[in-house]
Amino acid sequence: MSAQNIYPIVMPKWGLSMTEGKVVKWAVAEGEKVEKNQELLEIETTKITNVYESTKSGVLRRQFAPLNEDIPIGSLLGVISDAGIDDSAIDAFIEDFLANYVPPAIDGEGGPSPIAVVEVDGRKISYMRANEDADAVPVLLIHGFGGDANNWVLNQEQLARARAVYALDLIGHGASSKDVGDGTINTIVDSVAGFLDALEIDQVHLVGHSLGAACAILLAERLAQRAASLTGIAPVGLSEEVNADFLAQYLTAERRRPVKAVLQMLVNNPDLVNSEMVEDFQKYKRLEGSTEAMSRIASSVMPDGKQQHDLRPVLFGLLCPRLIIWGAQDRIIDPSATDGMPETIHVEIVEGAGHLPQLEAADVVNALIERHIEQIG
Amino acid sequence: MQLNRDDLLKAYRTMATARHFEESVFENFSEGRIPGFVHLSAGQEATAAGVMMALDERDWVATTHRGHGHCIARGMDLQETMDEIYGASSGICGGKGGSMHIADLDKGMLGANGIIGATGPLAVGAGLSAKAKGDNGVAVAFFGDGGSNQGLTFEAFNLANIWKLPVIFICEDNGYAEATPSSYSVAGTQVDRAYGFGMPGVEVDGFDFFAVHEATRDAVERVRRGDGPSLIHIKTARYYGHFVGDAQTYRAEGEIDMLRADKDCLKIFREKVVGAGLLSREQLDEIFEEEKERVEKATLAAHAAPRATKDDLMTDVYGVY
Amino acid sequence: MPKKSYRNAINEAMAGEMRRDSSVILMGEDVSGGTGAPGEDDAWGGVLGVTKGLYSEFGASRVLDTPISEGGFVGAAAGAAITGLRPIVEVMFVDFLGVCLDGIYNQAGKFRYMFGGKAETPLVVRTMYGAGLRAASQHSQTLYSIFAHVPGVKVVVPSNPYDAKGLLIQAIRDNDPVVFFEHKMMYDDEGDVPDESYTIPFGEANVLRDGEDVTIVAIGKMVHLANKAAENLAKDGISCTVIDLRTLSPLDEETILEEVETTGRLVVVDESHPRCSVAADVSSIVAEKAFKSLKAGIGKVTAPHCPVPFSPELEDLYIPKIADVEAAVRRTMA
Repeated sequence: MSAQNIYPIVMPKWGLSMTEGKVVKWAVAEGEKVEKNQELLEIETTKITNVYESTKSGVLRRQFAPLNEDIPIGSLLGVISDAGIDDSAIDAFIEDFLANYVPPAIDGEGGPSPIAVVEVDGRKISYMRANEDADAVPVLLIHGFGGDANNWVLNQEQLARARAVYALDLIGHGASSKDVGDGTINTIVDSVAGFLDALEIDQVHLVGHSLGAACAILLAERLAQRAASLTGIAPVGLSEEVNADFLAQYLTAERRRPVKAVLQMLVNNPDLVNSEMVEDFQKYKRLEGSTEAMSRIASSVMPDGKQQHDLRPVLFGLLCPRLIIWGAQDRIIDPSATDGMPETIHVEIVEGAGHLPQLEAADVVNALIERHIEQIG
Repeated sequence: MQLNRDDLLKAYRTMATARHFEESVFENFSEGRIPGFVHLSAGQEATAAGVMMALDERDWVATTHRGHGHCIARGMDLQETMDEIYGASSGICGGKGGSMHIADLDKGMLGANGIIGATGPLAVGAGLSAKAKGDNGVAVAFFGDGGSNQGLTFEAFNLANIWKLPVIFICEDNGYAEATPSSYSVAGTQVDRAYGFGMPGVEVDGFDFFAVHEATRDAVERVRRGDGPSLIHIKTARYYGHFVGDAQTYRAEGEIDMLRADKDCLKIFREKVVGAGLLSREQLDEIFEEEKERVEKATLAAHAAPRATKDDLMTDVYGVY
Repeated sequence: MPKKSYRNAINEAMAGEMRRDSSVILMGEDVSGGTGAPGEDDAWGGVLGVTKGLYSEFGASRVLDTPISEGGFVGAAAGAAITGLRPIVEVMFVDFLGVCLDGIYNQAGKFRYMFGGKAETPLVVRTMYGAGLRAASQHSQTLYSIFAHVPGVKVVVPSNPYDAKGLLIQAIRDNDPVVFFEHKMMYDDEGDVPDESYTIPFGEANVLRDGEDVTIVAIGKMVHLANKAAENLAKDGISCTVIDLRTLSPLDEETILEEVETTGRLVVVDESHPRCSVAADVSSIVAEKAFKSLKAGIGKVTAPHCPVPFSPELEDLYIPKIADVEAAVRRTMA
């Protein structure tokens, strides 16, 4: 057996701002067989706790990293090998790995900050960028109502292997200006179009989630040839229904417990919502102007808990390749909204995910988007 | 500004109301109808009327535990004031303040105060507000000869003077801090103390409405001009003890009889205005009787006033979150 | 989000509110530092530089250097608060509140109730607390429990820059008197603080960690000890919930009880003395209202019941440590 069949498991980098993570739980014991894509361990970051799936098949030889300790990205977590390799070879592999391990640069020490700000029509738009220098047609990630660029924490870096990927904070959201003007979807689309112009992005793959997907559909119509492809994750605008309880509570919840309850409605597995995520959302809601911005958008786009815009004709009329992804357990907008789609639109229903499949089933969603984009180039 | 006939009638009426009010409280407290303890200002009415008539609506007053007369002279509602003393829920503070903490911010009354020496700093703060507002308002701090010995009072003198605030410090000296005479407890004079902080001070006869009023008017004029604070030392006396029930054995034999006979500020006022031909005895008698009747009516109403209930206990503690 | 120090977060909260509302004033000893002196006017900006720059921006009519006269100016602030201003008073060290308690607990704290709900007293008293600066017995105490004891006075103890800004803005906008405790050893601590204005509501604790075995309730600077202890304990498989109370009055009883009901164990970490402390108070609330969910006796980590000593060796012994928290947690697991 050659040493090539010993594989390190390292702390992944989920999202541009991740510098370290904790191993919370091993799902596989030392000495047990593990298949590719099998759940191997659970990792907690400041943004999210998520399952790490094995990228290799073999036997888990070592659980190297201690539990619940902050471990920098790239550090050794464990070792997988083919069956029948000596323990001494594993030890030598670990020794070698540690000897050659270079800790990653920490934020602010070398390399441009992943977070930048651009001004569009007098408003600040904050965005995160990955692999900005790549030549291929870039991707723009547009988050949904009440979200921010961090919603793509498990996607942006992964989609950026071959191309630049931008994730912006919509106006009224995240670190962008809280002034949303009349709060209509057209005003939001204007600002996203302005963002592309400000960054001199011509051709672009549009990926939007929920309200962001509605924006992406309208933007694709406007951009015409410039829109290389469209991916809509649980888009607003394809059905009339929307979970009115969710909307009402999303807008009014202030205290920790109600906020947690409302965030749990977004996902299939409620354990994903930890106290840190709750506090992050509260931090956004406490900012002066954020609640007003959200209310204004909600009353324009989803007045009285009903979707205002029917974007099906627009979506159906688009010329670019279209992919619609929906979590099977979405409790905000029912996946039945995909009924009756023409065959020219590729629809994927992801099992085990709620309204945020890009977080809950990140690997699946990333693979779908990548395949969709790569077939165009 | 000279007082006209209407002003004189008003001054007498105020003093008469205050006197009847205290007599009524004395009687009803003695008969067990009023809870807690009360400090009566009977005998000191010239101070209340003389000072308040020199102030107007924009001004602020912080008063002491012996503050009923000040409340009446400041124009607080008689019935609501009486009800408060009885602890009724119809009282001006809902029965939660009582005699010692009665207040009416709408009338610029920052409250009676159970803490000796607390009024000086409060008036300094009100002076800061008046200055910030720029309405030339004046803040008055009443304190007694007892309060004059508290460090807080001196701190207030200093702050008001270094910041040139529109504050008038009024030492309403009735001769006793509880049972301790001011002749024993006060070193130096109040006026010298004022000069020590660089502000003018005057001593006035507290049995003479006109002397009190004139001194206050002068001080208000100066203070409104922005020349900084002033002090007035009013020498007066109380008829009753520190509280109702105080046997007052510390006072000289015959002292109170002498005060009632020779140093009654209402009588002195009558003699002056009747002697000068400004008002008639009949007019004054009529006012005295009218106010007696008004206070009697308020007293009877207070007896029947609604009592505070369990629901009132926990309100007004914190805002709602 | 930009990184800012605890000091700058507090300064930013005051500056923002003074710009927004002209009735907000600031007073205290050397809050400008040098008013009327022959040299610079804004020489100090507070003894530890927390109010630096406010005098230059807002001038002497809104940033008032006071004489050393806490009783006088705290009482004056109470008077200003019920007559239309929103004073922020800096009482340099909480230890000095001994000479000005009356203005807070007899005057400001009682106006609303005594006056039948008709008074609003928007007063903020900012003050430094805590040991660690070798400042000895009269400049190092942690006296928030005295104020938490008095109804009508709100008590806020921020543990980090983000909370400091949001809680101070809330305190300034609040219509009741608030005593705002700043730990003197935390002014240089840095954290993410938005440039925008925001408020954190009172009476809402922050759950910093979700655990299954033990709930650690902590206050102010002790929150960092609690967190670190929880991290260390996690390596041994002991999983702790960490609650930062943020405000002691009002107190978020609901979160404390809910988390204790989940874990069944409680350790309270408080830099104050043990007797009649917030630690004692939280313990009693849990013993009274969540007794049936308790699997072990309640643990308390506090300073000892002695004054804060001067000698560095003694002061180090005095201040609660991470190891103390870990030991207390382990005891509840034994």
